[in-house]
Amino acid sequence: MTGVSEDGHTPLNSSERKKKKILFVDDDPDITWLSKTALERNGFEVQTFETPISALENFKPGSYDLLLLDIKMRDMDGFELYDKLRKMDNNISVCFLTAASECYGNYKQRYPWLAKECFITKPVAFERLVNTINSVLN
Amino acid sequence: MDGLQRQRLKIRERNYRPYLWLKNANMKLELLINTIVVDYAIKIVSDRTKGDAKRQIEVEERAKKKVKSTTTSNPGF
Repeated sequence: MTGVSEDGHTPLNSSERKKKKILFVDDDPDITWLSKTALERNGFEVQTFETPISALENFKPGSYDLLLLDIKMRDMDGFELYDKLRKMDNNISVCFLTAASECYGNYKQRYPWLAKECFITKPVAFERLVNTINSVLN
Repeated sequence: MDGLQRQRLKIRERNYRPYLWLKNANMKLELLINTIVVDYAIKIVSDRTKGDAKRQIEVEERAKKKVKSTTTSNPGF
């Protein structure tokens, strides 16, 4: 991740750059904890929820840069959750992170405007995950 | 969907579950490498660097003492 100051010349270090905020929803607590720890190490601010309902209840429009959503969850699937969150914040970016690769067809059909990289299948190399998040955010 | 189709779908989902579990486990392993293992590697390198610096100081102090004792025992040195 690189950045420059407002004058456009001086490179900013990681502490000077504004941290990008990610909302991560996955029903596996190990995945949420590990992802939060690993992503925060890479300069992101991550808020995690283990149920779509709690994510919906605590969602504050305009306070997140990216949604990172699992698809197969108990109460509600990731697509449904995204639709609901998008109604509250229309400009928010999204990446789906799922082990269920067969959901890709449904994803393409539902969101034809979203890029192929926004659908990430587990397992994914951490470096690739960070690169994808950065490219989606930029 | 008739009963047979429903049963087939149920079996397919049941057979698919271990595969999903394995994919999730692989993801956890990948994330674990990027959290705890990295922390541990940093700690090892930092401990080793500290240890090296401590050893270097000890070697220098021993060398100084040796020079001092040589000069006091041989005043003509």
